[in-house]
Formats: sequence, C-alpha cells, structure tokens
Amino acid sequence: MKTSFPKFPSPLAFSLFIGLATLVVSCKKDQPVNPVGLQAVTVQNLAADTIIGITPGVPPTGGMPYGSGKFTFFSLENNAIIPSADSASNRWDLGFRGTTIITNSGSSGPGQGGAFVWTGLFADLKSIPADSSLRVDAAPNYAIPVGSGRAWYTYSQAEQLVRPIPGKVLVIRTASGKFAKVEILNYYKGGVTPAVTEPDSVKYKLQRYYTFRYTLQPNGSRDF
Amino acid sequence: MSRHRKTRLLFCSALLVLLGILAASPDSLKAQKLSSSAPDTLIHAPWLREVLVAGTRNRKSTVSLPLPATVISQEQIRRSATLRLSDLLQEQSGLILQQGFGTGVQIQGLGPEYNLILLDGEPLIGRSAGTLELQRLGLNRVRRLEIVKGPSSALYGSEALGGVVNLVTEDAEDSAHTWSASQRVGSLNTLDLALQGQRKLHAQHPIFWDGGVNFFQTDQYSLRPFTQSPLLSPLKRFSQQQKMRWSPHPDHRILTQWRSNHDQSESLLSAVTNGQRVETRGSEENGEHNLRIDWVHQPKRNLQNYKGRLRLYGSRFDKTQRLENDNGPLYSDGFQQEYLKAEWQGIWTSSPRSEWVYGMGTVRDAVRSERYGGSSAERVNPVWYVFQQWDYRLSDRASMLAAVRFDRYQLFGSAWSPKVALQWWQNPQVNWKVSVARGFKTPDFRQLYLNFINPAAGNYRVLGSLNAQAVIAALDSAGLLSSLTPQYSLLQALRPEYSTSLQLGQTRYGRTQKLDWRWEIHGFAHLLQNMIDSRPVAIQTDGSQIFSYININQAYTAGIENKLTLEQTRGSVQVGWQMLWTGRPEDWRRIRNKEVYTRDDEGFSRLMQTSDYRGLPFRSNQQVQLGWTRNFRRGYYARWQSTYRSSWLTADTDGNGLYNRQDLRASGFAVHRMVGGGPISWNKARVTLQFQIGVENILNYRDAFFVPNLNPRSLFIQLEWSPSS
Repeated sequence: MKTSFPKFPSPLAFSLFIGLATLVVSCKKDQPVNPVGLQAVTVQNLAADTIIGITPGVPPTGGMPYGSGKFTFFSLENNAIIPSADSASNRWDLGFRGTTIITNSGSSGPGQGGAFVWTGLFADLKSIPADSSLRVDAAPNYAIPVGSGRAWYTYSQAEQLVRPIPGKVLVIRTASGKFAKVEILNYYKGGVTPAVTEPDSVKYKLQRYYTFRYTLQPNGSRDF
Repeated sequence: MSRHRKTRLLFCSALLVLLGILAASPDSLKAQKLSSSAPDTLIHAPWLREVLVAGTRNRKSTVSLPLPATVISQEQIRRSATLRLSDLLQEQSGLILQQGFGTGVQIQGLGPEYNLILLDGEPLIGRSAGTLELQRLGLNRVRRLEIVKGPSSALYGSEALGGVVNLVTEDAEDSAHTWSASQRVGSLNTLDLALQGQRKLHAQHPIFWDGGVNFFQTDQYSLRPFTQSPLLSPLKRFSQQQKMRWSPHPDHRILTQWRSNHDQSESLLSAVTNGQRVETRGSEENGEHNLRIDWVHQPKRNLQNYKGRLRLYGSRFDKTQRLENDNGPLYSDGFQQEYLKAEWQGIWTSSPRSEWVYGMGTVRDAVRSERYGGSSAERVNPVWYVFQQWDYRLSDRASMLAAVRFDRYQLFGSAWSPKVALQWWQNPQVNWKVSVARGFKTPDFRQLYLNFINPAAGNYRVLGSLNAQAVIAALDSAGLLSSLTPQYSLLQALRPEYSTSLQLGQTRYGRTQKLDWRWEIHGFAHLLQNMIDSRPVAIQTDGSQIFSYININQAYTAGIENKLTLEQTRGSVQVGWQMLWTGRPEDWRRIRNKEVYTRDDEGFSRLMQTSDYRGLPFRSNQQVQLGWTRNFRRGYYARWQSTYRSSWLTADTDGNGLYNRQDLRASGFAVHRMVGGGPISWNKARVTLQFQIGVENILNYRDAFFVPNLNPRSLFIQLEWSPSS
C-alpha cells in the first residue's frame, strides 16, 4: 500500500518559498523575470464526451447519462483540438472526458507531460516552484486526480451539478516539456452553470463543456 | 480587528446596552417599595397557569423557572387547529422547521439532531439519519406542549443541546367521564377522524382510563428531488393511545401508557428516458410503539416531603422503505430501533426553600439496519446514568437551579453535564434569568456503523468510524486501496459532541385595565465542540473516495429572541422575533489567513472576504411570528397566524468548503393561516357540537425546490361532538 500522499506545503512555506525564489531569480540579471507578452487564452465550450444517451430505467440502477467514452484532445501550444487519431502522438497536451483530465504522460500518452494542482489565484502563479514535483498519469490515478473535492471540481449529488473549485490552478507540463497554467472556469455549455432548479435532462444536455483559461510559457522556463 | 470579533463584540455590546436600557427604566424605582412582598404572588393569570415539567422534572410555572420556556396549552393547540407536531412547532417563536432526512426543528440555531423530542418525558426514537420526522407525530390527546430552550442534558442526557420539546398527553382524571369524536375534511383529500374518552373502569377500585384513536390521511406534497414537478405522496396514519391509572393504596399509584403510531406513504415517480416512460413506485412504512409503566410513591403521612417514581419505558420503531418499477424491486431498506429504559427518580423537599431531585437509570438502545452491517447484526449502545438537581430559593427575590448529570456509555466513555441557572426579581414586574449549561450528543449509529456504497455516484463509500479501519484494511489486502489521506490518521473512536451555552434574558410583566402583557427578551449563545463530520480518509484504486466520521468541527450560534404577549378577554396577540448569527471559528481563521477563494462575477477566482461569509447552512438570520386571536361572544373565535423566515443557504456551490454569499440560497418566505370556530349546538350548560374552519397557506406560497412539503393553499372544516355523559 502506498501510504504516502501528495501533500501541499503550507501557505506560509509557499509564500516563503516564492519569496526566496523571486530573490534567487532576480539575482540572475541577464534573464527577464517576467517575460512580456504572455497572454492568457480563454477556451470556451470545449466538448468533453458530451451526453449522448441515458441508460434505461431510473436511478439507482438506471437512468445514468453516458457519452461515447472518447477523450477530446487539446493542444495548448496551438490552441486547437487534436483529432483522436493522433492520440498516440505528442501533438496534444490535455485530454478531456467528463470530469477526467489527462496529460500526455505515463499511461495516457507518449509525451513528456505532467501536472499538479496549485492552490492560489491564477494571476498570483508567476513562477512554478522549483521543487514542485509534477505527477504523471498512471490510470486510474491521473496526475490531475479525479473525484469531487480532490483536484479542480466538486460534484454535488443533491444538485447534480459539477462546479470548479475557486483558487485551483492546474500546472501543466505539455507533451514537449513546456509549462502552462490552466484554470477551469466552468463545466457547462456557454460557461454558465444551470440553475439548480433545472431538471436533470437540461443539466445532462449542458454538461461536459469546458470553459478554461490558460497561459503557456513557450520558452521552456517556469515563469509566467 | 477582524470582522468576526467585531460581530461578536457588536452583538455582545448591543445585548448589554439593550439590557441596560431595560434595567434603567423607571420601574426599578418601584422596587424599593415592593421588595418585601414575594414577587410571585403579584404575577397573576394568565402566566401562572403555564405549568411545565420538562424544565425541572417537576411541576413548575414558566414564571418561576429560571430557564427560557414556552408552554402551549390544550386550548391553544385546539384553537390553532393543527394536526401535526411539525405544524404546531412552526408557529412558535424562534423555532424553524428544517428539511433533510425528514422534517425536524431548529432551536436557537441548532439543528434537528441536537434537539430532543419527548413524549411525556421520554424520548421518541426513530432518527434514522439524525432527524426525527415531526410530520409523523399527531397531536391527538396532547394536553400541552412544553418547549425549554438551551441545553437540558443535565436532566435528559444526550441530544438535549438546543432545546427540549415535551408532548404531555392527557391523564386519566378522577372525576372525568367523557367522550368525544371529531372529524375533519379538507382539500388535498385530507381526512382526520378521532375518537377519545375518559372513564372510571371499576365501580369499587380506583382504576381510571383515558384513551383515543386517530386516523389521518392526506395527499401531502413532496418532491422528486431536484425536479420542478411536485409529487403527490398520499399518507395514511393510524395512531392510538391508552393510559390507565390505578391507586391500590393512597400512597401508591400505578400509571401505564401505551401509544402506537403506524403510517404509510406512497409515491409514484414517472420518468421518460429514451422516449420510454418508466414508472417507479416508492413506499415507506413506519411503525412505532411506546410503552410506559410508572410506579409512583407519594407518602401521605410519613415522609410527606418525598415523592418517588420508578419507571420502565420501552419503545420500538420500525421503518421500511421500498422502491420498485415494472421490472421488479429496485431498492429496499429497513431500520429497526429498540429503546429500553429503567429509571428511578426521587423528589425530596428538604425545606420550604429547597427541593432536590435525584435519579438514576439505564438505557439499552439497539438498532438493526441494512446499512449498518445487515439486518441481522444488532448494534447496541448501552448507558447508565445518575443525575441530581437542586432547586433553591435564595431569597424572596432570587432563586437558583443547579443540576448535574453523569452518563457512562460503553461505546464512548462518559459525559458530565452541569447546569446552573439563576433568576432574580428586580421588582415585581421585572424578572431576570441567566443560565450556563453544557449539553452533549453521542455519536449516532450511522456515524459508528454505516457501511454505504453509492454505485450511482462513482462508487464512493461512507464508513462508520467503528468499521472504517477494518474495512479499509480489508480493501487494502484485496489490493483495492490506492492511498490514505492525511485525515486517516485522525480516525479514532468517536467521542460525544459538546456544547456550552449561555442564556440571558429579561421578562417584564404588566397589567393595564384592559389587558395583561408580557415581554420576554432573551439572548443566547452556543459553542459546539467536537462536532462530528465526514471526511475523505482513503482513496480506492478506481479513484473513488472513502469517507468516514471524525470529531473535527466547531461551530457557534448566537441570537436574540423577543417575544411579546398581550392577553385580554377579547383576544390575544403574540409577536415573536428572533435574530440569529452562526458560523465556524475555523472558517473565520481560514478567511483571515487568505486561504479561501470564491468566484467573481466573471467566473474568475478571487480571495474571499469576511463580508462574503454567511455562517452555517439552513439558518435564517431573522424569524418572525405573529399570532392574533379574537374572541367573540358565545364562544366564537377567529385566529390569524403568520410565520416569516428570512433567506438561508442550502449548499456550498463554489466548492470552497464554507458558506458564502455566492452559494446557493433559498429565498425567505412567509406563510399565513386563518382559523375560526365556535359552537353549533348546546345541551343545557354544555356545548355538544363545535366547528372549526380554516385556510392554510392563504397566499399560496410555493417553493417546490427548497420547501417541497409546504402544501399549497388548502381549506378544511372540522366538527367535534362531545355529548354530555
């Protein structure tokens, strides 16, 4: 049994570290601290294995929505959806299927991908801590853990809604080893979470459409 | 200074200033002249008629009890024309109905699992998930309802943190030889039939009997969770109660009580999936029996200042839930609880000033449930306890109540519950009450033994704390465990939850030529510690989480309640207004340390401010009650009742683990009802036929989502026939 678990440093340690890292980085005067021109890109309505049917019957044995089961692959470098045919290539960085997000790494793909979840504001992540360890996918334990309250979302069974947790930034290493930061903003079509009072059928129809923003550092450094 | 401290300081100082203003009023000048007389004697009807036993285990009027208490008389219950305990409680100041695994009551901001519901002083059982369903309980044969706010664990042990609601039923009286029958019909297919009577059973021996039977049915509304379509779920209930009293000797009395309650409700869901209509039938059955035998010893000659009581009480509760569709049964769940208690209690008046109550007892509480390891496995929670209470009159103007109880549980060690209460008559019109008490609640069976897997939502598991380590070890040896979370190390034998509470209040009594009035202003604060909450403790190889229960949380509730009562022969007015503040100290700490995030209007994360924080869910900041009764000649009356509660938060929708402004909120609402009635025919001096007519939910407020079981506007008419004997 693996009794070890990823443990995030305390906020105090984080701030200390970031402070030190900034000091260290700012000592190297020949390198720009904040490269100019890095823009956050917002992706809207990325369909991620949307619902195509509902199992016969009613809950708890039936009535479950299902999709085709295929990932939607996305390249952060090109800001483009990659066809599934290229799933075994380095062309994609992230794959989306329902609430599962995979990186091009380990059991998921041949790339140098990896990820970890950073707690804080998107804009405050200016430099990826040097000692942070990026996890790689080892299905079903993905670098970005799946499950309510574990990485980037919570699922409320009572409301049947998935909501991204505020203050969670996904630090991504792309298939080619570059760094990006991603914040998931919404899980529903149009970037608007349906009202709780909407019937299940509406919630099913609108779910699994990602809205997220990201910043890619193309030069391979860990700074944004 | 933090907002948290500011709020507390503001609250405390507001309370002090308010009380200071009250204390400094001209009335205090009169105190000098009137101090020699015993203040109690100057308090007149109708307040002195309010007698209760729940506050001290002995008869005491609300006027002389140093605790905040309300008594609702049989006449008030009859005139309110409510049929269910939940409906009656909803009309009381400071009490709020809270939904969730049934309809329970929130007292002083503490939820249903922290409030004790008693039937003639003994707990009603059947809390399958913490909440005792108050809609199941009828009011037939209830003589009065007693509500004591604040912890009463010093007298009743576990679960008496927020307050105690005691249903006192009719006793067999010496002289009574009556019977009556009533029938109510109303919209939503409501029918209520009741038959009751009192008799002397034996010509020579003093054996008295009181009994009643009641049938109730209604097409109540409930809701298929999270759809807008309300669902009619017809309910049928049959209940009966028999009480007997026998005095074999002038010093001895034997009292027996047998009550049973059986209800059944059904629901029909129909869902269209893939163009095909699937109908699912659900049903729920609850059976409950309560049996009580008391032997009361009250010597008439020697030991006149002693009154002893030996009590045996047993209760059994049986719940079955089923769900089936055309393909066969989908789901079935059973829950059985058995509660057996033996108790001795002695009341000893050692001097005119001093009264002692002693008691000891033992309880065997046992549960079988499919969710707690199968219906064959009986889970038992034995306890024994002793308690003592001293009611002492310090002077003509001041009295004191001190009590302590010790509970020894086999499963979770022991609990001490002390209580001290003082009351002081500033002058014959102004009375102060202050009390400090500790309450506790033992972990319930669910928190100890639950073994629940939800295949419908990613196979997550919830394990009771006594199972958790064994089940996780078994999963591990089967190779199904991926990792443990940091909270796993916190898993240990659950301990009881505790609350410490402070109650401070002032009651003013007054009389003008036309009316009697009473104004109660009352501040309260509860700090709950060791609260049990579920936390993820391990992760399985398929990525699903395992949750278990840990003593981890702290929470507080504080508030001010105002209650004004005006009484005169022409009618009465009751106004109640409660303000409530709640929260968790841990949440304030995390917000201050900038560890909590929420979302701005554009959907981007931002740091949460203290001004976003809204405390505990399901708490309304304001609650207002208005009751107005008008008496007409010849016994006719009309009554208006309004209840308002402000908005409350229901779910943490932004996933930051606490409740803030951006989370899901139910909007505040008011409901109004009107009742009237009077006699139809007389037989010499006695009324033999009476009617009542009423409208519930006059403005037809509907909120199918957050208040699903609030019935739409409905009408009823009731006839009661009580022939003279």
